[in-house]
Order: sequence, then structure tokens, then C-alpha cells
Amino acid sequence: MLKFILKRILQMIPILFVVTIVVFLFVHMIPGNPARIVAGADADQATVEMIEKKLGLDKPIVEQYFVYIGNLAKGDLGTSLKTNEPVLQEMKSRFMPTFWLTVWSMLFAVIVGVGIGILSAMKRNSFWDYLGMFGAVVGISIPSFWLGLLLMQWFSVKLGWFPTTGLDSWQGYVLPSITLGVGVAAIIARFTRSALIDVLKEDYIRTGRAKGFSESKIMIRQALKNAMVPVVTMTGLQFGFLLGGSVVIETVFGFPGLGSWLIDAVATRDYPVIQAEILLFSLEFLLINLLVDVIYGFLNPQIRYDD
Amino acid sequence: MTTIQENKVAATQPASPWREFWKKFKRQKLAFASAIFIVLLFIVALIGPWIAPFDYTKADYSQILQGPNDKHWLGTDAFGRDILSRILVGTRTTLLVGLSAVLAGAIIGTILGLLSGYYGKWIDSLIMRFCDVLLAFPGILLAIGIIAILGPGMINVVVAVGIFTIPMFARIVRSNTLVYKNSLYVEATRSLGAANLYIIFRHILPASFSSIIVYFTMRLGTAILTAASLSFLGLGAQPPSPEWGAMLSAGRDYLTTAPYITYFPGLAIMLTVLAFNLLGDGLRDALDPKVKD
Amino acid sequence: MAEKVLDVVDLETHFISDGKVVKAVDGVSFHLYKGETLGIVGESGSGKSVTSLSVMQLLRNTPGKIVGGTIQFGTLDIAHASDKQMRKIRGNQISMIFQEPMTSLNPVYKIGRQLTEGIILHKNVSKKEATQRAQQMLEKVGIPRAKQILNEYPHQLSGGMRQRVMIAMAMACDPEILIADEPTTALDVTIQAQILELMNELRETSQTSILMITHDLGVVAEMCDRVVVMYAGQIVEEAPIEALFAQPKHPYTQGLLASIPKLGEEVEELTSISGTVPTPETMPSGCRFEPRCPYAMARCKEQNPVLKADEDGRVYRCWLQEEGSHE
Repeated sequence: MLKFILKRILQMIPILFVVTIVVFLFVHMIPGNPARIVAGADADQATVEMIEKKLGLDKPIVEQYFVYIGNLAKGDLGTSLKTNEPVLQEMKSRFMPTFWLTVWSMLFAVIVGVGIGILSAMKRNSFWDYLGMFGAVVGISIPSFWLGLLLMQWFSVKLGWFPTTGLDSWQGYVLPSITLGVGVAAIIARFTRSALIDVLKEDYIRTGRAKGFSESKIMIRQALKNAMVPVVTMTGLQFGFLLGGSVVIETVFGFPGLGSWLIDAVATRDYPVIQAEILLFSLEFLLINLLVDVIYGFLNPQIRYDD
Repeated sequence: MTTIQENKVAATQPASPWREFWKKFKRQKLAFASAIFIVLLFIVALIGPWIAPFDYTKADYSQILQGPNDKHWLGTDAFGRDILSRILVGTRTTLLVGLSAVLAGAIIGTILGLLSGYYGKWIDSLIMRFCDVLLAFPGILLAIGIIAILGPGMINVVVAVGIFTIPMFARIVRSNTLVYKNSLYVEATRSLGAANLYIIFRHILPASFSSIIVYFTMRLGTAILTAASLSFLGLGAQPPSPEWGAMLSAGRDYLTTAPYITYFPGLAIMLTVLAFNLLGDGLRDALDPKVKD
Repeated sequence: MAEKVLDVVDLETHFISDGKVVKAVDGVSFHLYKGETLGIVGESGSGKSVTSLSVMQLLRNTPGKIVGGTIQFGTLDIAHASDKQMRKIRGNQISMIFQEPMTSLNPVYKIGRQLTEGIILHKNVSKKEATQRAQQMLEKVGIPRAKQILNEYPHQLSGGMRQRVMIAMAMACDPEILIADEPTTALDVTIQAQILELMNELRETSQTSILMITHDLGVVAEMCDRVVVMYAGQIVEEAPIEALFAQPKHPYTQGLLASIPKLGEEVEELTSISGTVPTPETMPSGCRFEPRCPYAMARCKEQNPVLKADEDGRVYRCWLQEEGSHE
């Protein structure tokens, strides 16, 4: 198992290298002179040159890349054009809120999604199944920002249970986490249902029935773990969806995390911040994929021994 | 497009394919209702400005922030503009953005998938690696990244959403191509000396049509949702535009005093996306059970 | 012979899909004595597997349904038993092994757990006792390193070993009846012989009755005391094993026997029965075997013969019985 994890980490190195190149080239892909865009059309040449220098655009491109890598190694992610503060510093303060937001919403999504999926699979083609699956399609179709505003309007404005915006206490997590989790819960519910229905067709389920287990025991003791193998994989991949969704949700709730920061940075063309965020998100993806593989190995004994 | 598809269906399923499809599709009541709703949406998109009860741009400061009433069925916004009229007119923007983005992505993705599957070797690896990279990122982040490069605006939203639609189509068409490439039928055509391009467009592409149509419908819902999200974030359509996401964004400031401003555009987005998703599910069950969500 | 442990009378199991009814089992009657092995033989589509699934009431979650007849087991009629009653019987008094040892064990659980869970469910024992029993059973079915195997996963075992595990699992609660549905079909020939021998041994020591479902007359010859031959959902012949092999009465049975090569016999030509098992659409209105029968007569087209004994006491379903003149 350890060998397997190590191998996967080694496999990540070339990918990381490609990621740094893409992130580095980001500024160079902007049509026109990025410094000019940042400075604005009326800015004088001196300002433009100063910004060019700040972005490191004044040197040959290969040298720029090595400077960039060198800085990364030192933990220097550049300086925000807007605040003139080191990007890393702000990133540190914004990382944990987003981290917890994704964790809570994933927890919500897994509990609700797997629950509905199991119920639907057990009561297949019943009213509850149809209701659950229709709910899931609605969950996939509902615009998260709209759902966020509705929840905010109801629970914060009308009932006053939660703060409308900001993150002064744990209550600030509740509505954003639910809003963010609904879409993923819907996807997990659909997936869990179909995975379970596939598993229930397997021969070993018939064996379980032949042993005299009741349908609910079959579901929980025989089918669930098998169905969880694909569900875990899919759920892990949904973390990406959550990261994407967090951008929207954080903006809705004025949540001080990485997502709202990214939108601000895009709006103000704060390129070093955008670059740093793309890098961070890519890293998170790679890590999540690694984690999914590891958990997959634990759930499926056949995988573990193949490596 | 219809004629090509008819040819295809006739080639693979000789027993009255349309009736077969119709029989299966009619059973899916939700999908059927969705199809009707979508047809209505397209009609509204075409004639919206003429059926709107008010001028969607005209501010009326005597009528600001009115709740739903006899005159303004869905109320008015902060400028006294009629929300119903703005939603009706905005239908066109919504559908146009979704359609053009998915169409562009589908065409490019289909071509890449055909090339990848038919020619294999390094072309295949190159295209598939490219798709892997694109798919590694969640769609909306990719779109935000692209907009960060290109700048905000509706056209750039179309480009961004179109780009993240490419890899999905490329993969589906590739896997279909791999199957049909080696079919006896195509082998026979090839042995008769048919050119590669002729085989691709005359035989392999039509064979993938049902998958493409199912997926196209499903992606439309996602594309509309993503485009609305981007507009909501201020990266797409800009405020005076009656785009639904932008309307919602503008309504946020009146959440305490006039929540209905956000109710209806959001409802419009949800129903539209829901209709495309349900139709996609229904088409999948009726046409192509292989495609999974 | 002694006591009947199972008595099936006029069993009818139908499959209903798209509004069409398929009579998979159409009026089948047979019984099973204590300690006996009864073979049910037939081609695929003959209804033999559906018969066994009906006895286990395992047709839930399929479009199949028992629509008529009785399955008497002790004082209980299985055909009309509740789910709860059946759960007490399944795996406990009647257990079953299947054709596919490779897929019949759950890949994500260890062998030990899969063996003990049935024991714990039916016998009021602790986990420790169940584990002991599981190990005993593994030893009994001839699995070496039984203790280690308990902690291994199915994919670490060969097909033959897995079928032994399945047998251990089925026998763990000392069932009165073991239903074996093509238990050796998926295995190598040498392994097949071992498994059959094992089943014979177990039957002798435990006095369990075995219902052997198979298409393989070699397996029947090896294992069974009596045989029921099924064709298109109905029984066409029933006979003690020696009589069946010495003198098959029904033309279908004759065809089946002629299609297996006999050891030490110069065979010029292996005959096989021409044609295929009828589908619901092509089901003849008369005798169901008539289209493939070399002795078909005009009467066969019109009326399906009934299953009855001739003057020698041989039971089969054929009009030739009344002619009494074919060999």
C-alpha cells in the first residue's frame, strides 16, 4: 500500500511541472500587453513599465520562468497588484475558510446523497424513488447562487437564524455549506442509486438472498460496500465541482475564502493572485485524486494486491 | 441534420425507427413535457420583444420595486422596469449563449473525437491528453480562467463554456468511432476503396448521432447554468442586459426589501435547465442507453 | 424409500414482461426423498433453473412469479410462504450453490465473514463459535490452510476452491436440502470430479438430500439416484438412474443420451438432436418435442401427451407409450 502511494506521488511530479508552466504562461496568454491592461488606457509609459517589472515581464521568457520557479521554491507567490501585500500571506488567511466550507458541504452532500440513493434503490420504482430522483434532477438544475439567495432570504433575513454574510462564527458556514452541497448531493444520489441497482444484479447478492438475509440486510451488509467503490471515486471527483462551486457561493455569501478572492482578482486583473490561485487549485486537484485512489484501494481488495 | 439522422437510423434499425423511438419517448412523461416547454422557450426567444407587455429597457421611476400586481405580473425592478418583460426578452440571450457555446464545443469535440478514434496513434494520444487536462478542472473554474485571460463579456463566456464542452464530446465520439471503425460494415466499405473522409462522415459520424444528440441536450442545461453563473459573478452579460443571471445579480441588493426580483429570473433559469436535463434523460433512455450521466 | 422432504405438485412459474407471459415452468411435479440425490436434467430454457429458484423463492426481483401449484416442505407450502418464513428456511434448511463460483462470492469481504454471517443469522451462536464452525466446514470441504483462508478475499482463491467455499457455506447450517444449480459447469474437468466426489461424501455423512440441476448427463450418472428430464417447461420423463441409462423411454431422453460419447465404444457418429428448444412464440400446440422428434406422428401435432406410467412402471410423456412399439 505504501509503495502504491509512493508511486502515485512520484507520478505527480511531471504533472506538477506542466502545471507550473501553464500557470507561468497564463500572463503571456493575455492578448495585448498585460501591464497596459492593468494600468489602464490612460496610464503613462512609466507606470506601465513599473507594472511590467512587478509582473516580471521585463526579462526574456525563459529567464522569467526560472525566476518564477525559484520564487515558488522559496514560497514566494508574488505580490498582489491591488494591495501590494505578498500573495501567500492573504492566501494563508483565506485557505482555511474555504477548506472547511468544502469539507462541510461534502459531508452534507454525502449524507443526503447516499441516503436518498439508498432509499431510491431499495424502494425502486415506487413513489419515493420517483420523488428522490426528481429531487435530484432539480438539485442538479437549480442555480446555486439562486438557491443561496433564497436560503439567505428565508433563514437569515426572515428568521434571523444565520448571518446574511461574512464569517464571524460557525453559523456563517451553515447556509453556504448547504447551498454548495445540494448539487453534489444530487449527483451522488443518482450515482449511488444506479451503482446499487447494478450491484443488486450481481451473483453474490443472489448468494446473500440464498443465505436467508432480508432485503434491507442485503442492501446494507452485502451491496453497499460494493456500490461504494464507484461512489467514492465519483464523490472524490466531485470535490472539483465543490471548488468550482465555492467561487460562486462565496461571492453570494460574502464569504472570506479563496473563491471570492479569485473573482475579485479577475475583476481587478490582479494577475499574481489569479496565478497563485490556479496553482493552488491544481495542487488541490492532484491531492484529491491521490486520496481517492488510496481510499479506492482500501475499499476494493483486488486493487490493493495488483500493485 | 434531420435527413442524415433519418438515414442513420434507417441503416441500423430497419423496423420503423422513428415509431420505435416515439413509442419509447412518449412513455417518458416528464421528458415529453420538457420537450414541449423547450419548444415554447424557443418561440419566446424568437418573438419575446413583441409579446413583452412593456419595453424591457424603459425605466419608470414612478413604478420602482413594485411587487407582483395586476399591471406588472412579476413586479418591477429598482429602475421600475417590468420583470416579466425582461425575462421574456432575456430568453433569447440565454438560449443563444447556451446553444452557440454547446454547438461550437460539440462540433470541435466531435471532429477531434473522430480524428482521435479513426486515426489513432499519436493523434489519438495528443488529443486525449489535451482532453484529460481540460477535464481535470471543474468547468466553471476553467471558464473563469479563460475569462481572466480574455476579459469579461458575453462572447468570451460563449468561448469559455464552449471550450470546456469540447473534451466531453471528443471522448464520446472517440469511443463510438472505435466501435464502428472495426465493424464489418465499415470494413466492407473500405474494401470497396472508399476514402477515409467519406467513411468518417458518411458512416461513422451518423452512427454516433444518437449519443451526440443525447449529450448535446444534457450539456445545454449545464452550459446555460454556467453562463448564468458567470453573468451573476459579473464576468458575463453586464447589468443593463436582461440576461437572467445578470438580473439576479442586480436584484441581490434588494434581498430584504424586494426579494421577488431574484425569485423569477432564478426560477426561469431553473425551469429551463431542468427541462433540458429531463429531456436529456428521456432521450437517453429512448435512444441510447449506453450514455451514462 | 423413506420420508419425502420435498414434494412439488403442479408447479407453474410464469415470467411476465411487456405484457407477454412466458410459462417457464408449466405444471411440474416431483418429490425428493431424505438422503436422496435427484437430478433435474434439461437444456438451457427447459425451466430447470427456474424450478430450483422457485423452490428457494428466489424469484423476487425478477419478472418471474409462482402462479400455481404447491411446494410442500415439511408442514410448510413454500409456494405460499411469506418472506419471513422463507428467510428462516433459506440458507438454513434449504441452501443452494450456483454455477458461477467466480462471481457468487462477494469480492469485498473476507471468506471468514461470508461464511460466518449465515451461521450467525440462523444458529444462535457467538461470533467465535461461528468462526470455529466456519473453519471446521472449510476443513470438511477439503480446503488446506483453512484458518488462513478465513482471512483471505475471494479473488485470492481458484475457481475450484471458491466452489468448495460455496459448498461449505451452503452446508454450514446442516440443511435438509441442498440445491446445486450446475455446480461444476464452470470448472475444469478434474476439479469437476473432485467437487462431485465431495458432494457425494457430504451427502453420505450428513444425510442431506440433493437436488442436482444440470444439463450434463455425466454429472447425473456420477451423482443421482433418480432423474427428472425437463423439456420446454415440462417434465418429459422420470426414472431411476439405471433404468434411464439402460433404456431411455422418451425420444428426447434418447436423443440426449445419444449425444454423449460413451467410453470404450466405437462411435461412428455422434448424434445430436436437430433443431432448438421452442421459444414462447414457436411453442407447438401439441407435443412440445414434436418438431424435433424422429418418431413424430399426426397425433403429436394436435395433442400434448400426459406424463404417466406405462405397464412396466416407466414414467414418461409420449404418445408412443400407447403404441408400445418403438425401440
